[in-house]
Amino acid sequence: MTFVLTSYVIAFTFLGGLFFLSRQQKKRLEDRMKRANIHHDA
Amino acid sequence: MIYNFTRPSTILQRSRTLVPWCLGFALILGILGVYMGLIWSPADYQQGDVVRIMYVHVPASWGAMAVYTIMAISSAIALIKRIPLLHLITQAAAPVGLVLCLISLITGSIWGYPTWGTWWVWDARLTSMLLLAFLYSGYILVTHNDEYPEKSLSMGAFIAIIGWINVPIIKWSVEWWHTLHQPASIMRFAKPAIHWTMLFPLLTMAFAFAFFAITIFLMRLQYLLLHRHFLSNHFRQDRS
Repeated sequence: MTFVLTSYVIAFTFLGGLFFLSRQQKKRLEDRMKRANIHHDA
Repeated sequence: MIYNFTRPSTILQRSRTLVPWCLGFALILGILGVYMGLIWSPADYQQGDVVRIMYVHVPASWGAMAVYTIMAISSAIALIKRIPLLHLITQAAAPVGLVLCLISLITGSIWGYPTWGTWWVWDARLTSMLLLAFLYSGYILVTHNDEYPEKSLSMGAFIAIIGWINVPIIKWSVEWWHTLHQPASIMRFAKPAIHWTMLFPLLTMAFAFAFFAITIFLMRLQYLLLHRHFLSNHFRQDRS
């Protein structure tokens, strides 16, 4: 079962990691745009 | 009508609505998939519990191939019809595909050790999958360029299109060559060679992976659209 659990942990860590990185990257850009007073029409 | 859907502001709006829904579906299906994969589904009569790795390995492999196919199609249309938005769609999809490809390679290797007695073997399926990871990495490296975005996106599109030839090779490598990797059990012309108690968790997990991949893709697309908008405004402010 060690092999199985390791696989699941790796898979969800990778997917979750990419999710949080993408969210962080977008948030940082939105903050930068707010500071630079650049608006987007959405 | 179609023009409205291709407007960046419309895409931003629609994707903001879609992201929570896709994430919700991914989490519900993911929890269900993990429960079924680890507890509900039976162990294999030959491999034992190790077969449960299939429920993350196979969806990741399908996802990696599907994402690359979508990238190749959108790149081809972007080049032929000259639609820059499609380049952004390809660019947003690439990291998702790379992560799925890495999950497939790593979990496949972990599955290989107790089953074949080796972590890695240079057979056709494994090598062509590794090549797919290199193609994803190559695309990301080439397109990660703010100085010449149009040129780098066009170059990336060529990588996506030419590299697609690897996808059917991955799919049929287990039939064209003698490999350690088992042949297809589900994506084949005949009836699936897998019992429904294993097929059901596998498909549930595949949908969970698909919804999670779409969520991340939409978030990355939002980022790329905003980034483009930010750069154009930033340079406009610099010039004035």
